[in-house]
Amino acid sequence: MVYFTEAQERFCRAVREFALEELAPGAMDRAKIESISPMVINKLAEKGFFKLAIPVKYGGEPKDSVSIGIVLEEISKVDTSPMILLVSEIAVPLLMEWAPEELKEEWLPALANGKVIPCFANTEPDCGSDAGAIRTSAVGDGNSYIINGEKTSVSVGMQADIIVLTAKTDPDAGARGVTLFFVPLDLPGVTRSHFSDMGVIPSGRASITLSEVRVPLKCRIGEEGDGFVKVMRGFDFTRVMAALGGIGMAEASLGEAIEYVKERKIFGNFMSKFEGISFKLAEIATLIEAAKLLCYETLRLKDEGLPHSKEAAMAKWFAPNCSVRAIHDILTIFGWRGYSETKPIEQRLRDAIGLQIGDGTAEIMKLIIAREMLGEKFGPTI
Amino acid sequence: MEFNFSNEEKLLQVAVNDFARKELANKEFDRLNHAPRDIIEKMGDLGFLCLKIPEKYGGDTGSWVEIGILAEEIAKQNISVAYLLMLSYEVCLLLATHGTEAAREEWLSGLCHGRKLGCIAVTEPHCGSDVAAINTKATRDGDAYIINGKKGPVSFGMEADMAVLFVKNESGIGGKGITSFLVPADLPGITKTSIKEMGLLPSAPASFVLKDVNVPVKYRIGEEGEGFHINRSLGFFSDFNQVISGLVSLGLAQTAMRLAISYAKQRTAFGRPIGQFEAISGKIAEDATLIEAGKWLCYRALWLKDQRLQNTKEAAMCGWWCPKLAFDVIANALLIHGHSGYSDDHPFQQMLRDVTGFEIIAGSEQILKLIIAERIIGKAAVPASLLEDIDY
Repeated sequence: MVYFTEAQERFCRAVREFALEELAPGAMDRAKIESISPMVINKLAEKGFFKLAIPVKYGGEPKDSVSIGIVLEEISKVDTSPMILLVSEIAVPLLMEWAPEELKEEWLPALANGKVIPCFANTEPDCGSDAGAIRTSAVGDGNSYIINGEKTSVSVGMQADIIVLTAKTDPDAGARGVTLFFVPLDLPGVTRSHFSDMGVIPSGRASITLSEVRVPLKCRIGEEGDGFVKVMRGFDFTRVMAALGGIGMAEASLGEAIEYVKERKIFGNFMSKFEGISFKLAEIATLIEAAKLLCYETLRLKDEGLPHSKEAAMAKWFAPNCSVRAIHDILTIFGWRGYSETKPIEQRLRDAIGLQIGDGTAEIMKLIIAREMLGEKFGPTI
Repeated sequence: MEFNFSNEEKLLQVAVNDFARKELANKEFDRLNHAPRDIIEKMGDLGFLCLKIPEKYGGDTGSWVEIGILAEEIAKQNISVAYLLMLSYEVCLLLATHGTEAAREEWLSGLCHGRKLGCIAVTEPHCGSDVAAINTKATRDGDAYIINGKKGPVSFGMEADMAVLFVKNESGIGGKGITSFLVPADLPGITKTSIKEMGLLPSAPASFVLKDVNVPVKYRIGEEGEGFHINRSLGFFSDFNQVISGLVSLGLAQTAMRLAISYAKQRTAFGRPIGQFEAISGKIAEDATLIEAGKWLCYRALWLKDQRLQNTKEAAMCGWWCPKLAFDVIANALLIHGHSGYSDDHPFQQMLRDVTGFEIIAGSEQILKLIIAERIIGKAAVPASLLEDIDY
């Protein structure tokens, strides 16, 4: 593939081999369990996949964004259970870039070796896309902050040991009142409850309530009021990663469909001989290729230090849409088999729909694109 | 031209709608892994399962359009019960039209009063749409047939009291070699295994293994070799199956859209109801257009059937398009609800799982399109080897 360097190609082959050897057995069963298997976490940690966004001095082995995208795509082809964990393992260390040295020294090495599981939360019951409208509050009290509020739809929230979350330090300042905090989840005042979801089940999506949770000053990441901008920057990356996770699932489904239509006969001929089937697969392959290129192009821009918010938004709405459509079509090509739990297709369809929602809906993505394209005067007003 | 329901049809619509709201709404039926027999009995008592069945077996008059209304209104509250209604009609009508007098006496009254449950076993592990390729065999032995083979998945198979079986007869070649039977599901030699599927859980699908099952001749439906034609006229490959699958899917989609509309009015983002954003209102407007078009497509196909006019093309159109558009409408409603729509707190994820089943139940999109192509382009549009299979 033209868009990978030789080193990235080699890395891609290594990840693919690892996934097929280590993660393929039992992957279908793991997709239906409400937590990520410790065995999978250990294997990913051993392979160094939690070190990819952590500086060397804290025990990390940082890689370029394209390579991180490769991890998401290749692992999701084989095992969807750690997909969102991987996103979180990248997003949280990135946000911690602005944390006090003491906090980084304390936690980053443990994140790098998989001993501590991170999660991130912005969404609240009354707002998701509208990040400036959050209500969780953090009030300074001497050398600490007291945090109160409810964060919801927190992926990996049930299993995580620590969370990075947004809270208002100035309730009247809108988006400019948002600050990032690091909170160990075993602190008094933290309670969690679990969502029963359609898909991405191992992510164990949670609602996390914080009642009078006291954290030391060092747990503030960055300055008061600069959280919103940092989160938006982080989203530019995680959105593409989620998009590539969906692409991985669609590619795996396409591969399985191609095998199936070459084996299965109908009306005395191979299914593949019918244009109703083969052209549909041709369309799916086109969509996947286009979406994938969009994703990696965005990551290349990021690696070169160029603006890529618009491209990330494009990837985030387009790629999960393509994935859902591809997997849905493939399910019907498999007919009853696709509908049954003996094939991974129905699970992937349910998982891919989750990717359409997480990290920002299609509407928000289009808003970002339209604003950048049309400018403040002519773009959409919110 | 008149696009409207008659007064009688409207009354039926209201009655079914009331029943469904009262008995089916907000219940945990969708997660049941068996059919709700008490509800079926109630539907039987109300006469919802006996339209177009001869009076002497406890049936009633009625029109195809009325059966469509029943299916749509029930599906608005519960799609699995609507599926059951559709299958119940297929079994009843097969039996009433082609069954022996003895079999009708034995089963028909129980079926159309909701006391007995039927199922249809056509699909085999290696073939579904290509019915002529089935392998299950019947060998004549005096006054009985000996049947051997595998069937599945069979919806409601775990629970049904009787099964319509499509099998190859001895001289069987292609579509002309298929014979159908209606057999008690507890005959010796029938082993059932449960199958887990993505949705439509109350339909408790099963795979059947039939080993030397001895079936008396009285349970044969139609003559030897008529099975393919029977399946095409009233079974899983029929215009009835295609149109009712369409209406059932649209019934569910309407409920999803209704919920999305009220959510769009309540939920605010950036200081105003999300319904005020064109991205949301436009999507709902599109969905409403699709549902409206799909519904009339279905009812026209049923109206044609009531007039005894050809509806092959129209029914196939309903079959491929309506379940697909219903899937899209429900997916939109889920996404409009954002992350909460994805969880079990809302019904959308279950709706989506269920409606996907109807994309398969209605017949494969590819075959339905071939039927349409044959009608509008002509026989030249279909490979000669397929003509016999899709034409009738």
